Amino acid sequence: MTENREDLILDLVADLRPVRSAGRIGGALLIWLALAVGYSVFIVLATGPLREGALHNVVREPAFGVETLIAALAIIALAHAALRTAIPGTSSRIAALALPLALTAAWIAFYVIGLWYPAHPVSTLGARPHCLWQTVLFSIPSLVLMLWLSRRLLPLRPRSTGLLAGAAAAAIPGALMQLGCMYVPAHILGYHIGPVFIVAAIGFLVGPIALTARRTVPRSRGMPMH
Amino acid sequence: MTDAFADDEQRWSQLMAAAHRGDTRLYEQLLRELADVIERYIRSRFGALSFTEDCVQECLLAIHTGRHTYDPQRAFRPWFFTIVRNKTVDLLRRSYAGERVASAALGESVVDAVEAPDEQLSAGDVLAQLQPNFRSALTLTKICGYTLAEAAERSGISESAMKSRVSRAVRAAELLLAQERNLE
Repeated sequence: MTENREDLILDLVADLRPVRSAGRIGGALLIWLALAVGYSVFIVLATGPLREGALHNVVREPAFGVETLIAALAIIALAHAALRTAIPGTSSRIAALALPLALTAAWIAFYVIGLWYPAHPVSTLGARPHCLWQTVLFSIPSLVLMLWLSRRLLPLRPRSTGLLAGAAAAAIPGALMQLGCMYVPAHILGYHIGPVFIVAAIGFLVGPIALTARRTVPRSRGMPMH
Repeated sequence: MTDAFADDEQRWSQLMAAAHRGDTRLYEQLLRELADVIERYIRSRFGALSFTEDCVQECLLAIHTGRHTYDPQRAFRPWFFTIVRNKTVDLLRRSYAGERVASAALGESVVDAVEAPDEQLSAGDVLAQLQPNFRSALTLTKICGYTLAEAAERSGISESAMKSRVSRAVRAAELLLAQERNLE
């Protein structure tokens, strides 16, 4: 064993503090969902009213209710996957992405099918003039929160974590826009779901910057790590 | 699963659980054992990489900073080897950039500092499985310590082609390492 390694081990041992295992991510997931959904509902309501009868239609129109439920499940799965990718060894990248991507694809499929068979009566009622950029901007705080929570874990694949975090963050205002903006499938695909891809791309790009800052351990003996 | 394999798995899991509680003596034992495992892992897959020691230390640092992400209810090996594989590939990617900086700062070729590069060649599992041109690219840049320009000259290709070849070789090595997940 080299002298440097010996020094490093002694430094790491000296730096040891009791920690609580964060290998289960349920707590972090609940915190994120509560804060991100709460904030998103607040900001969507603060910037405009919900479309008239939108909440009622969630119950009255079964296909619209299922569409909303799939959106909610996709959000949870994306957020769960983002956190899971920040814990080493929990699953392969493909396994981590399979469920959230399947649910997101199912959610999008509702609108693609909706181009011919809409789940909800098509209406321009409640149109918001800047819904695309609102969705993008509204998602940024949730993205930052998710990156912060992930950073507290050990994100070894920061691009994957960032991409999933971005998708999860934008999916919340994106889904809320189907209650707060007009219901026209082509509009929803471009202006409410489109931002999910935009913010996922932002997460993909900023992930390595936000999640890979070097953590150092106080070195009392050896040379600094290079 | 052999007895030794199962014993190691159980012992490391227990040692890390003790480390979570702050037991420094058992944590030191764990780090020493893992350091040896990491070194053997890297040597068995890549031979005598020029930065094996850096890699071992990077892994130990990552294990330390991310120790709270290990769940004692889960198997230790997948958590541990995911970190080791990731850090190894990270260093494979980063190493030649560092070498170029060092080379420029010292005003000499890194290869000059290697007394007998040929003696350091060794066919690790991963290297042996790579295509010959990928194996050659990694061997020249990561084991012999040649700069990209020197490796390119020896291979008779341009520096940018060598850079691309090394990058693809690292990616191929990463995929081979990822396939080992099922063997843990």
